[in-house]
Amino acid sequence: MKNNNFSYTSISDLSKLIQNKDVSPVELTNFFIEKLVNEGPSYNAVAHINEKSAIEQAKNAEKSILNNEYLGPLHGIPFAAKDLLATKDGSPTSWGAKPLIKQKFDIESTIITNLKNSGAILSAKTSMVEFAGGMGYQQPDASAFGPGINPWNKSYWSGGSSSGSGSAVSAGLIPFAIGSETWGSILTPAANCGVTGYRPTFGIVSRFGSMVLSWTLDKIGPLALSAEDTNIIAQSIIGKDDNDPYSVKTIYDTNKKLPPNLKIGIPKGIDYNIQNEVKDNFRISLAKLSEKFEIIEIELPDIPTSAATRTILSAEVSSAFEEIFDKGLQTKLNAKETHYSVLSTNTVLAKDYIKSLRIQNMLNEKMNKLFSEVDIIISPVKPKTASQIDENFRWATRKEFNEEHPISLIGAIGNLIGLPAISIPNGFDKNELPTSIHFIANNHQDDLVIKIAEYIQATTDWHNNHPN
Amino acid sequence: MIKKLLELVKYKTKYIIPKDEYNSLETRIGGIISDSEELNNIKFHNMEFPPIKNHEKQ
Repeated sequence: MKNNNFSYTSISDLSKLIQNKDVSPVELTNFFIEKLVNEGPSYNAVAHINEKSAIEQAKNAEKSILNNEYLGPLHGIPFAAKDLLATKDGSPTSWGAKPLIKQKFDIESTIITNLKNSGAILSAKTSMVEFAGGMGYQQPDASAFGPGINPWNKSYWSGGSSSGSGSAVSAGLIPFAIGSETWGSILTPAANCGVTGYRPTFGIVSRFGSMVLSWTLDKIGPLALSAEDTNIIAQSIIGKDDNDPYSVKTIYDTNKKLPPNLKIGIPKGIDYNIQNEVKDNFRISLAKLSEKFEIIEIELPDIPTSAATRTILSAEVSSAFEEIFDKGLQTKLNAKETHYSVLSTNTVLAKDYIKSLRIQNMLNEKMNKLFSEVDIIISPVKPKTASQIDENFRWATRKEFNEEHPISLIGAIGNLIGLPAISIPNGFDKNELPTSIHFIANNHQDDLVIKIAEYIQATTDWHNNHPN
Repeated sequence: MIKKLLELVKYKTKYIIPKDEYNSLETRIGGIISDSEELNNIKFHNMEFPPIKNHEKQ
């Protein structure tokens, strides 16, 4: 099977090759490590390549499979993990930050342990925005590894903060990569790079061993080539973990069937004042869904969701990074605009933090009510496609786009109360940059969002388009 | 108010903040004040909506 190109091959197809012994895990791992070494730098996608330990894991996988001890569809499949997930293989975990470029841990993140226990092979750590964007960066060059470059067009940003996870999967450098999201950091790079990104229900995927940005908001999930692949990964990463005090049990049904009377909600005004191609492609996706499901217009709760999310984030950042601030390490970051401005997080009032947590509770009640009327909410992930690599994106976005727009609001709602979501590509704009939609469901309905995405991808081909 | 909070930041963090950084710091303090004012528009009764963290919703 030498000289095969395994890029963009689905996990289920790769696993069939492995299970049938048509390809060995070592061959597959070598193939993807070579891709990461040769092409990773052109996207600023890679923080560290775990070559030695990956080959060792691959050899063990090969041995087990030859002994007919096949563990399942991830056995022998290489993956990468965002550079904020601790490993004890001696490789650095730098949190995307120059001052911590040599940081090492003697613990292993539960999500990596779970994937390894399923036979998956950790091959690299992917680059990311420094401190996962917690300092308040305003432009793409806010990473020790340079700005995340979009494989569809190198003049555009891959998105953040899971920049390298998005570009590595999109460029075919790895079958899947783990990212994290506090407020948009899985869905944004997935959308910018035209891959499938899954944000799990808060607490169902352990965060043990992951850098903390916000105890209340952080989630960890994969970026992959399809919802079908995501379904395979979800089975390995979901599970209660006593090492994470926020961890909760859930029931995830791999073979979930979509109910025939499924109702899909569209937030009122969702396609107002957005990029034309995003609007057009969204309407085409809606038309496709309306062939089978009922589409209902909904109103999102009118409460200060973005202000509450930002307040919780600021307050928790000031505590999570106290040690960093005490040492002044943030003044050595790439994003100069954050060096001192992040100290503003010290001014959040305790009353406002508590109020925000109460708003979280109120929002949860309101969304429970909304989810008694619809099963799923659909929205474009972003009002426009990827921004340019040298663009001050926050400024550009704020000028053109109100944060109370339903697209912004559904992003804030989903992150404030930890709703599951999946982002999938649904077309292109005139610059051949991907547009994307996402599905959001009530907490613990992760199988539902993944299955609706699988349904769309079974009847469309956008996820099978890849950069040249 | 922003100037007073800037003094508070300097006092609490013991940082010597370069003067050319005041503007970006004040902008973000302004954002926090603006969020605070928005949060003030919501009034809860004493027993309404205790602060339940996500993981406690089960």
